[in-house]
Formats: sequence, C-alpha cells, structure tokens
Amino acid sequence: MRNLWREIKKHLYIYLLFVKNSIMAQMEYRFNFIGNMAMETGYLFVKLSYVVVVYRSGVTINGLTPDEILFFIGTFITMTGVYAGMFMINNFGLRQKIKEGELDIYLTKPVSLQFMVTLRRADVTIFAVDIIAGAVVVIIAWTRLAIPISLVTLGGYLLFMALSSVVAYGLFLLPQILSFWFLDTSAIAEITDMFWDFNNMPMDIYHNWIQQLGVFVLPIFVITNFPPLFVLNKMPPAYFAWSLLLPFLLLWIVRLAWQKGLRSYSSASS
Amino acid sequence: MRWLAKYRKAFELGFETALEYRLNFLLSLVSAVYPILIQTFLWTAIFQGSASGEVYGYTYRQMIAYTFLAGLVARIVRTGFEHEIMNDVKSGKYSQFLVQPLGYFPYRIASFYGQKLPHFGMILGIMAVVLAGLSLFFGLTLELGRVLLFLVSLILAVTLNFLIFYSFSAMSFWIVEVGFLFSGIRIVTILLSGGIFPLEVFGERFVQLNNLLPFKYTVSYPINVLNGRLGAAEIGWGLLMQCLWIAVALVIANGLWRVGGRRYVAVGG
Amino acid sequence: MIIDVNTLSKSFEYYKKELGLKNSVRNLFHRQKLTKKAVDQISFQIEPGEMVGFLGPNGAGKTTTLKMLSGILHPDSGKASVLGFTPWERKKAFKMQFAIVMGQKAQLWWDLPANESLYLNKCIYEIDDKAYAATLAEMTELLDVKSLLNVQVRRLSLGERMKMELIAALIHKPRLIFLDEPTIGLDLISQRKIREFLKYYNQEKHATILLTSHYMGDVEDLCRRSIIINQGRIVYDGDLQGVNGLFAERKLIKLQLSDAVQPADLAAFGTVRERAELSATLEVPRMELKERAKAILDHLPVLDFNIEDVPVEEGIALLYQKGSEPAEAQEHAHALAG
Repeated sequence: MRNLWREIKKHLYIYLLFVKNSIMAQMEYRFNFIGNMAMETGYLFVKLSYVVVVYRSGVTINGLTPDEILFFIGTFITMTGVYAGMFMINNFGLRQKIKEGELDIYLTKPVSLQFMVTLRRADVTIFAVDIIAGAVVVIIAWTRLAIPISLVTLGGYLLFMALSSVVAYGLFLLPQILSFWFLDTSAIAEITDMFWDFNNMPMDIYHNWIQQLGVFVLPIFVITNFPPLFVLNKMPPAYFAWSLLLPFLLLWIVRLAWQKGLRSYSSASS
Repeated sequence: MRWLAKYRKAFELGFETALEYRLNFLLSLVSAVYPILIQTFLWTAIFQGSASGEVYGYTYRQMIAYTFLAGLVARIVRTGFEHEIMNDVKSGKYSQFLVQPLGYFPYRIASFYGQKLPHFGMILGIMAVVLAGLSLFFGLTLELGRVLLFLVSLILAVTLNFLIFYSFSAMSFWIVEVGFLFSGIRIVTILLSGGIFPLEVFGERFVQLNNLLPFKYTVSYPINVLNGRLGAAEIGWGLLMQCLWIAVALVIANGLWRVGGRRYVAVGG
Repeated sequence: MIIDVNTLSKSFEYYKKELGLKNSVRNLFHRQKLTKKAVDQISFQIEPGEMVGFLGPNGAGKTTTLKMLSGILHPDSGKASVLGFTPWERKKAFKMQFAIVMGQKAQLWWDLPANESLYLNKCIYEIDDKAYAATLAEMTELLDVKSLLNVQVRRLSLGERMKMELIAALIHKPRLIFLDEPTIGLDLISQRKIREFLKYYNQEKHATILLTSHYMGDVEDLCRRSIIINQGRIVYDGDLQGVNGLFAERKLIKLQLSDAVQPADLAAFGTVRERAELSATLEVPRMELKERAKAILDHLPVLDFNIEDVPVEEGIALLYQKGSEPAEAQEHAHALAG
C-alpha cells in the first residue's frame, strides 16, 4: 500500500514535469502558439454559434430551457479543453511512436509505459482557451439557472467532470491501441475523433434509442451530459450507477488492450 | 499559346493529386456528415418546440435543405493550399518562381482548379442524391433554371474563395511557422459564409455587417439561389456582387503578394 | 556472472511483397508468411566489469540481442538472466540498474535544453538531489559539455547531442550499460571523446558495458573481448586480435621502391595484393617470412620495408562471408594459408 502511494506520487510529479516541459517546448515556437490559439478560438466560435441559435429561437428543446442548454454547452467546451489539450495529441502520436519504435526506450524506464506514452504531451494553449471559455459559460449558465452553490452541487459537478475526463481518456485511447496491430489506423482515428462533436448539444436532441446507444454502448454522451444532468437533478438512477462504474470498466479494458498490444509489439517489432 | 502549356500541366498535376488522394477526400466528406447530422437533429427539435412553422424565416424543409447543402458547398469551395504556400515560402522553393518564366499565381490557380474538378464531380454526384432525397422526403422542389444559376454561382464562389485564401496566404511572408493559424481563419470564414447555420440566425445587425464582407458569397448565396429563397433580381444582384468581390480580391491579393514578394527578396528566402 | 544467455532465439515474421497491382490484390486475400531467424540459439556469459564488443554486419542480430537483454523484445525460446532478472519480465528493480543507449533513438526532448530531460530522468529513476548534482557535475566535466546544459537540444551538434544522451542514460549510475551504435555518424573528435569516456566509466565505476558498433575502431579500442555474430549466430567469441589468430598464417610486406618493377618480378616473392608504380604490398606465408624478406631485399630496389598483420577487418569480413560455423572459418583460414 505504501509502495503504491509512493508510485502514484512519483507519477503525479512526473506528470507535472511533462506539462512543464510541454509548455516550454511550445513557447519555443511563438507563432505556432498564436496559431493554435487562433484555431481553438475559431472552433470556440463555432461551438458558441450553437448557443446563439438556441437562445434566439427561444424555445425549449425536448424539455430543456436555453439556460440549461447553455450549461451543457459550457461543459462541452470545458471537456474539449481536457480532451484536446491533454489526450488528443498523445493519442494521435501513438501510431507514429509504434511505427518508429519509439516505445523501445520508454520500455526500459522504471515508470508505467502507458503513462509515459499517453500523457507525455499536453497542449496548454488549447487547454487554456477551452477551460477558460468553458468555465465562463458554465458560470453564466449556473447563475442564470440560480443553482445554489453547495458541496453537493459544486463538488458533485467537479467529481463528475473528473469521471468524465477518465471516460474521455479511455474511450478515445481505445481505437488508437489498434495501432499495435495495424500500422495504418489514421482513418479510424479521424472518424472516432469526430464523434466528439456529437456532444456539442445535449443528448436530448437525439432520438431516445440514439441516447441509449451513446450512453451504454458507445458511451460518448456520458462525457459531457452527466455532469450537468447531475447538477440539474435530472439524472436517472441507472445513469448514476453507470457513471460510477464506467470509468473503471473503461480503464480496465484499456489496460487489457494495451498489454495485449504491447505483447504484440515486443514479439513482432524488429 | 505555348505559354499556356505549363499551366495546363499544373492543372493536370492538381487533377492527378486529387485523384491520388481521393480516399482522403471521401473521408473528409464523412467528416462533413457529422455536423449535418447534429444540426438536423437540432433543427428538428427546435421546430418541434416552436409554435409557428417558421424559424428565422425558414420553413422546416428549407432549413433541412440549407443544412445539407451548406455542408456540401462549404466542402466544395474549401481550399487547402495555404500550408503548401507557407512551405514554399519557408523552404525557399518560392524563389524558383521568381527566376523562372512561371507565374506563381497562375500556377496556383491552375493547380487549384485541377484539384477542384474531381471534387466537384464527386460532390455534385452526392448532392444530386441528397437533393433527390430531400425532394422525396421533404418535398423540396427544384427548377432547372435555378440549378443552372446555382452551378454558375458555385464556380464563382470557388474562384472567390481561392482569391480570399490566396490573400490570406500572403501572411507567410511575414510570419513563419504559422501552424494552425490558417485552420483558425478557415473555421471563422466558414461560420461567416453561412457554412454552418444560415446567417439570419445571428440577427439583423450581423447580417448587415456581413453584407459588407465577401464571405457570404461563397456558401450562403449559392445555396439560396438553389433553394428558392431569392428572387430573380436578387439572384442577378448576387452574381454581380460575386464578380465585384472577385475583382476586389484580385486587387488585394495582387497588392499583398507584391509587398510580400518585395519583402521576400529583401530578407532573402 | 552478470549476464547469462542460454540458447536464445528470436525470429520475425514478415510478408512477402511483390510489385504490381495484381499482387497487391492477391495479398489482400492471401499473404505469404515468411520467417527470418534474427537470433539463432546464441549463448554467452559476461562477468561483472567486462566491456564486450558486439560485431557483425547489418541485420546480423546484434540489436535484436541487445533488445532482448534489455527487455524490449520477447525471445521465442531460450533463457537469459541479466543482473539476476529475466529481462522481459521488466521488473522495476531490474530497470533501475541498467541503461540502454541507442544511437539512432533519442530520449531527450528536442525543443528543450538537455538539463530538463536530465531532471526528468532524475525523477524517473528516483535519484536524490545530492547524488544527482554530483553525477551531473562529474559527467558534464568529463564530456566537456557543462556550458551546453542550457542549450536546446535541437541547437546542439550531433556529437554534443550524443554526449547528452549518454549523460541522460547514465544519470542513475547503472551497473550495466547497453550501447547500440553509440558513435554512429559522429566526427572523429567526438568519437574519440566518447570512447575515452566509456573507457573511464568502465574502469572507474566497474560498470559492465556491452556495445555494438559499425566502427571497428570503437571495439578495437575499448573491448578486450568481442563477440562476432553473423546471421543470428555467434561465429567468434574472444580477444579481437585473436581473430587474426585465425588468419595469422599470412603476413603482409609493404614496399617502397626506387625503380619500377615488373609485376612478374614481384609475383616471384609472394601474392601481389596491391601495386602502384613505386610501391607494392605482398602477401606471404608466415613460415617463410624470413627467407622471403631476405630475398626481396636482395633482389628488388627497396627504399622502405614494412611487415604487417592482415587487418582485423579482413579477418572479420571473411568470417562474415563464409562462416556461420566457427570451425568452417578456421578451415577457410587454413585453406588461405595453404
């Protein structure tokens, strides 16, 4: 137990170094920095254009008021910061790393390989733009909805955001792990990545069966719908149970797939 | 006409490149499906919640038609040579064009048209299927005259968007390593051109402001020619504006590239 | 014994690729699977403190062997014990005690100063501050790169970068070091510096070093023992000069002449290996060296005269060419002598 805690502390500290190194490396190319910011701001405008559509039409959509929808969109923007800023670059880099045998050196390090490879890089520009914008939107929605701030609401929201981050990590890493067996997975990667945008609107705009599919089979909706559903007190018990189970289930599946992939790497690569 | 031969070659090269990467292109079409799906669901929900049959002056079927067409038209006019130009300038390959009797602008536009031709074919094919589906399930009616005018406005739209992005590309002379800057610009211009939502959605003031910009003539206008929201006079006026903007963009692009080129020579590639 | 390798084997599967569209389509449905034996039943032992060179042509299986010994690859069969561990179990305690440096794979962050990557390794290997500072100071001193620690890696020369890679790999004072082509592509001065460093490190820290290299110079200079591997099998294990023992039946006589000599007149004294207008190299049987030399001096217009061994490279090249069996190589050497 003591050992485990020590390892966790070590990994957390190394993660901080990864983030610091990523920031420093990004600062090396200042214009790239600006470019990334421009791109993410552009995407942000697109996400916010949905807000405009909802507010100006002024109707409740499948039982959700515009303020409530704003809450969902704010959560989506924040989670995009987490996904695009912390996970996406590493996921997309995995294929390259496997192809060029870059895992070799990492394999000899006394640190978890999956940790080293899937969390090594962070894009702080994207993270900052989306987290700040998302937080602002969430705060506006929160105020307009007059939700009381308590340990349950705010704490619950943050806890669900943390669970969502784990789901986002596992769900989008899983297809990339295929790169251990198939070298060209760029098409799969791109298509799964696009699934992310389905969260731009609350899942209530979709048919019921699509919702069930997106919660239980391909749990993409869990990521941005569950935190606001919890705070708005609209979460069915089944979802609640699922939200606690899913992150661990996903991490377990990812771990299995990863180890299987690694076995193929270390027996096939030259 | 021998000077034309080299640009025909550029055209053919562009054409071949597009065929070579057709799988990529088809994949990018798949990516166009996502927003269309999301927006269709969104509009369906909004129209269900709205008391009157009209939202932002669009009927339900017009809105769905707009959503589908916007995704496809935005894909047709989309450029992608910005990064190539940036690389040409950065790597010094641009110098080659300064010493050879080969104009960079005609080379680029010839190659661009060459690339667009197969895309045009593929998308028009898809569009025909989509339109047939729309008229079948949503009762959209099409007039032959409008279809022809739509094609004309589409060609002008492609040209206009080329010039707009050719102008933006001149930034490569001042900023190296622009990275995703062009992606940011592209996304914003798609939004301004009506490639995501109809422009009316964003309000009267926005529409008036946007009227002063060329972007809506690349996506929003051609679609409205086709779906019957514009009268004959407005269509004519629009075509005129497209030509006017093409002329203006030509002047701007020319100016920017002249200044940039001078800087390029002075700094040394 | 720090490394004990027993009949270790590893083969790779690959698919036969033929050109042409027809074959591409056929490959979609049925691919012909081929196996290549990269390492074939090798065995050897290494004692603590030894510095052993691994020689062999490209694709001989050197890197594959190193990768198995460092736990990157699973073998198909055979056993290996490294520092008392089975490497491919990848135990943490094992990883903490060794290092691998691959000349063509960098672990330093490209856009950052090297000291950032070094500090990261400090945390990865759980080194305390004091030991870290001391090791860093010592190694930067030895490799003469102290002033470069704050320079972005991408701005360093290839040689400087390699030195930093070495420091990064050795910062946790490993007892065992694998080096795969550590001097590849480097200029002569950097090569020499790195060799000196490795020699020092081996002697002072009593670290065991196993290195592969293309440059005979590296191995000749550093390693008393070398293992020569070809087509996945060990064809020689011992003193590098001993390779010449296999070919010691021949000697080379180099001549500088004052007048031009007819080829036929030269050939009378030995096999002519090289000939220019006023110089020649003759190969003669060792047993007859004395008589031949005397005869040459008596009969030819000799200005200068040198007796040399057959270069090690040639011996090894012969091993590569012929022998997958050491015995065979020896036979070959005898055949040459006779």
